[in-house]
Order: sequence, then structure tokens, then C-alpha cells
Amino acid sequence: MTQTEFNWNCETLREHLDLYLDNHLPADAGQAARSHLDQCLDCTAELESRRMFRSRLRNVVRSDDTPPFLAARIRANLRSAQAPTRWQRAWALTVATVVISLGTAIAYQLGALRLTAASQESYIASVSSRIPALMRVGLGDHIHCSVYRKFPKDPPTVEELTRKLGPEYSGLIHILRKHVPSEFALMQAHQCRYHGRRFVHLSLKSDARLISLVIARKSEGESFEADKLIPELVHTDIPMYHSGIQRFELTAFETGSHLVYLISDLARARNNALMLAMAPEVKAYLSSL
Amino acid sequence: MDNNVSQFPQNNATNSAALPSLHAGLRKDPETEGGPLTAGLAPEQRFEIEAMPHLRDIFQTATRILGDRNRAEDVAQEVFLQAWKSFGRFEPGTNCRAWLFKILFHCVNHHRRKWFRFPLLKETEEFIEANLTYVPPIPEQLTDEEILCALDRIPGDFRAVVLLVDVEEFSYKDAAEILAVPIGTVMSRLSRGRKLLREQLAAVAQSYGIGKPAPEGMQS
Ligand SMILES: [Zn+2]
Repeated sequence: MTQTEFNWNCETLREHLDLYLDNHLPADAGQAARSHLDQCLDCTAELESRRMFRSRLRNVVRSDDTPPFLAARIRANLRSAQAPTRWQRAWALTVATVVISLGTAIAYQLGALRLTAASQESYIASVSSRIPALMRVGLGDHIHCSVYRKFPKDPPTVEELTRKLGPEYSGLIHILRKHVPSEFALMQAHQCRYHGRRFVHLSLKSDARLISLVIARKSEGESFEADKLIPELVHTDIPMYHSGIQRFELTAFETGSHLVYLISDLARARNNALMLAMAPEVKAYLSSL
Repeated sequence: MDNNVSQFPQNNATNSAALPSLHAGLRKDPETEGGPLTAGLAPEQRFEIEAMPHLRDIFQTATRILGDRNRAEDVAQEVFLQAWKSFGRFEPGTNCRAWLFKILFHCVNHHRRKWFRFPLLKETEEFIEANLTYVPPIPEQLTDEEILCALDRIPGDFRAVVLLVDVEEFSYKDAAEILAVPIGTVMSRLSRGRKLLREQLAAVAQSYGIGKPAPEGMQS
């Protein structure tokens, strides 16, 4: 064949060794390179050395982890950015033909998880297992009661919400409305039960985000402080605890008798700031009960 | 113009204007891309499935190009925001990873004047021509830090092709498309970039006294 054209010696082959490694030599040149390599230990060793260095380089560069919350921040950016224009028509069509109940936002939050009771429980379990036990209490109720909830299209009136929540806790409605941005509508306010525990639970929703204020009465001996959780925000009168898992950010504090959680898919700092702003009033309200 | 640059990373409007043609020419990659599998999904879900898994690669490459993790975070956010804004024009089945890298280098080029660690090619060309006669062997004992340090020391344009081809394992053709340069340019920068990297590695190794001795004329 054309072997005579490519009579590699060590020097010329070394010049083209990277191309050979990249599989970018013409077929006949590659063939000739292989026959040289078959007989030349030095060039084979050099080839091996380059191959190994390349995979080392790959490993070193790729061992760098992404910072925590970078993905969450990007998702938050996307949600606040406008949907790509060409889709707006596609969206409208989809909405017209398929009844999108419960919101694509929620399916998106859960990574297209199917909403069966079993998968719901296993989802809650898998998410919760990676955060401290006392934080799980609030997260479980949020996912069970808000994330999986089919909210009505229009938010209920304050009167309806008050009636459902009961007069005892109705002051919380006012506190939430005062602090949560107006694009969030109060969709639900009730007392609920999850895994044998009672909660006061208020949920707010914007186009694609959910916020829950979840309050549980403390059982004997329960305390963030006793569990040695480290407060996220220390320069505050009320110590604030934080956990983040997947798209959920939890900020919590405790009173003598209650555990109070703010859980959302907002950015971590925003979730913290919102809880920080509300905490004194919520705390005062609970202690007046 | 310079005002725009200094507003980074908020000045997205300038960038997105130039984005429509970004995916032109990128190979279809049916093995790894969604195609018909994700065709029926909502854009958010498609983006989640097709684009978001590449965040780590984008961030790592940005870190090595910019030499700074904070800046890399900003740029990664910008890349995904740009990608989202033009995702409507992204053809399902096109190589999404390559498309994201193309946006990455688009963003980097847009801001590169600010970043002295990414000098323009003509400033470094002479230096390279003068230094490429001898190619030292790759030292055997190197720490991760030494490897990264050597990589960071080679000029940005060369570092970019080494990262794309040797680390991210793009083909020459995809690398050319991503960097918007001819394939011949990719090949020559790659060859020089690899040689420069080996020189830097040899220098590092020598300074620790672990490398093989340099050839005659290079020893001090
Ligand atoms: Zn040989």
C-alpha cells in the first residue's frame, strides 16, 4: 500500500504522536505509526506517558466540585427570566389542549416525579434523610401538604382562610401578608396532621414558587438548641437555623413551646431574610396564645 | 463599549443579540441528547434534562479559563441564563453540551478585555515561537496543584483548546465550532498548547528537583 510514504522514525513520529493519540492521522499514516510503535519501546513508552498524563489532567480538572447552591441559584435565575419567546405560543397551545392541573411548576420542582402516595412518601423520605431530624418535621409537612397539593386557580378570600385556620391562629395571616412579596398569593391556611403530628400551616404561591410557614408544637425535650444545631444567622436576637436540600430551603427558629419553619424554593438568602423579618412578630404572636 | 464590559454580569442584552446562530454547525449527538425522548416535555423540563447536567463541566472549564472560582460562578450563571433565553431556538437533538460551551466562550470573549489572565493571542505569539524548539518529557511525579498551576500558566487561547479537546474530549471540529475559529487553528493551538503545558510541567518538576535532567544548553 502506501506504507513507503510514511516511514516514521522516532523523531517524526513524536511530532505526530498527539495526532495519533487523537485518532487524527490519515488511515495509512496511522497504520505506519502503529508498525513503528510495534517495534519501538521508546516511542511506545512516550505514547503511554502522554496517554496517562491526559487522563490525569482530565481527572485533576474535573475533580473540582461546583459550589453548593450554584445550581439552585441558576434555577432561580431561570424562573425569574422570561420564558423563551418562541415557546409562548407553544405554551398557549399546550394549555388549551391539556388541562394543566396542579401546575407544571410543581412537576418541575419534583423533577417530574409521579404523584402517587407511595412515591410521595419515598420522595419525602429520601429528601429528609439528609437533613437534621428536627428540620425534617417541617419539611415533611411542606412537601406533603403544599408541594403535592392541587391549589384552586384563584386564591381564597381572607375570610375563607380565617375560617379554615381558626380564630386562634388567624393573626398569622396578617403577618405573612405584611412580609411576603405581593406576587405570592396566600393559597392555604389550615391546621393539618402529618405522621401523627399536628401543624399550623400557611402556604403561598407565585407563578412557579411555593412558600410555607409551618408551625409545630414542641414535644417533650424537643429543641434545635438541645440537638446542637448550629444557627445559620447568629447576629440576631432569635437564633435562625438553616437546612437546604435539593430545591428546598428551610429556615427555622424555636420558641419555648413551638418550632417554626419557613420553607420555600426561593434562594437561600431570600428565604433566610424573609424568616428573619417575620420572626419577631411570629414569636410574639405565638407567645400571646 | 467599555461601559458595557464593566457592567458584567448584568449586561445580558448585548450578548443575547449575537446568540441566534450559536448552535449552527454543532453536530447532532443522538447518543447523549434528548431528541425525541424529551420532545414532548415542557421547556423547563427539557432544560433540566438536557442542559443542567452540564453545569459542572461548564463551571470547571470556566474556573480554569478565568483562574478564579468566583468569576467562574458568575459566568456559569450567565451561560445558563443565556442558554435559557435562547433555548427556544435550540434544536432538539443538537449537541447541547457543545452548545453550552459555545455560549461559555462567547461570554468569556465578551468580557476578556477585563481579564488580564486571558491575554489576546498576538501578545503571546512571539513568546511561543521562541520557546517551542525543545519538548521535554512529562515528569512522572506531579501533584494536582502542580498540574493546575502549569495549566494556568499557559496563555488563554492555548489553554482553551487543551481544555476542550484533552479534558472535555470534544472533537477538533466541535472545538472549532465552540471557539468560532477554523479547524486548522484548533490543531495548531492544540499542538502548541500541549507543548507549552509540558514545558511548564518540566519547569515545575525541575524546581522541585524531581524531573529528568534538562538537555544540554538548558541547564544552568
Ligand atoms: Zn521510535
